[in-house]
Amino acid sequence: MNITSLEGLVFGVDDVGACNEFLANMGLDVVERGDDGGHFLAEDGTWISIRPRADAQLPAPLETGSMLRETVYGAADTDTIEAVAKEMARDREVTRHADGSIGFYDDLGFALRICLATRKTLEVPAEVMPNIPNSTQSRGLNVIGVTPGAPAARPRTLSHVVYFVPDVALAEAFYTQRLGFRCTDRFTDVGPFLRPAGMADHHALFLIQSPPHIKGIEHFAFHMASPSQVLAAGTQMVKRGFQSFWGPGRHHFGSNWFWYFNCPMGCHAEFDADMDQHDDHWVPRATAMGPEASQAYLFQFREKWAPGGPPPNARPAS
Amino acid sequence: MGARRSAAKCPPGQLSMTVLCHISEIPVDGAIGVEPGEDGHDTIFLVRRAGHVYAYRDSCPHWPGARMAWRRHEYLDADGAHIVCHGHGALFDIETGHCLSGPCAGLSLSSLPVELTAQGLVRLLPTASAPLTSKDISK
Ligand code: FES
Ligand SMILES: [Fe+2]
Repeated sequence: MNITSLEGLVFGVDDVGACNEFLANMGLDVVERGDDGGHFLAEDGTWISIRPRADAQLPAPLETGSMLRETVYGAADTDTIEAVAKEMARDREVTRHADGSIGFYDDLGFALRICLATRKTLEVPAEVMPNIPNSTQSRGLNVIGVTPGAPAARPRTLSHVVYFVPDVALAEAFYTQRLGFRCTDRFTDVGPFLRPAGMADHHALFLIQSPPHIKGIEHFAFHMASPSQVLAAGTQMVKRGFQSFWGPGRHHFGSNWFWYFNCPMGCHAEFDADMDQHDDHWVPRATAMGPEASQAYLFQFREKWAPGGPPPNARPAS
Repeated sequence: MGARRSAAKCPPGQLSMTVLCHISEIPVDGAIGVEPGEDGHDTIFLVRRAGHVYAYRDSCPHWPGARMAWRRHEYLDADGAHIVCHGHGALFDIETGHCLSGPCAGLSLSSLPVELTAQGLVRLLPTASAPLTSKDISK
């Protein structure tokens, strides 16, 4: 099952205007934005779509009313799509769409779609590279790392999605046994981090064991090109009045830097960077979830200041 | 976004009699966040509804400490009928702070007693543990 990307997420929402406003402010490219929805792209073409909750074109909602309506993965080729269609048709209905993609529901009722992957490979801008002393790695002479007044960078690509699920074992079995996902690491009392077999990222999907009445999305994340870009994007969000939920910080599992914000789609939205990558030689780790296991370090935003000079009330020397 | 509203500053833990805002700063049937301490972000929000002001801590009972708005002052749903935690969409009754649906259904927001002075100032009352006693206000 050569699933090679997390392509997009579709939301059916109560407040289209607020959701559009939020996603535009994350730095995504605005392809469509109006009263009946919006469509937003990361730099590599991965996307988020906003539709009104009542839109009849959307797949059926979860019974909890979670606003996530469809998770779309990209396959390397049509053979993969056909292989998934055949596997799913064994025990569930598969919808074929005009663009060649297929739709179905996972064992917990989350709507999935598999399409041909559209994700583009991107150049790495020079200023993103760190200058590591006494090494061959640097961003180059006279390339500056911080450009005063520059807007925060755009998210590069959709990174991952996280579900609250009432039966983690059932969900994990579906994704690993039926769609070929791999477990990379696990919080023993919470759930597994999963990556599609054709993706190296530590996780495109993380599952959290939860009571049935909250089944739905916990958060989604976009990869930024660097930790510095996570800080810049998050700072810009705070300045614009968006509400930080957690971060900035750096996770243990996945090693990714993170900064989460509250979002009007009734979930959290994360900027991340520098996530570990794996192949099938990796042996999953397992540990109990807790503050220490969850993050390597955690910081909190504060307003800018300019320390320096004499103490504030210093009298001039006479 | 205007400048941060810092209600009369007082040391953390001594919020008694703090002036949170002037009533005219809360939109009719709307909500605002206020920062009576030195936290660098809003820690309390006020909802103005049918002649009352209701004050709650900006902390969701689902994950205590989690802030609730999606943007500064955005504590209500689109039609202003309920308080929403945008973390995971929990809905709360404006008058009681009771969670009607969502991860913390059955739990309640932490309410704070406030009064409206003759000059239209919304003040936090000293007994933080007392039940909600928002005073009548004239629109
Ligand atoms: S943190 Fe408020 S609903 Fe989850
Ligand atoms: Fe994440």
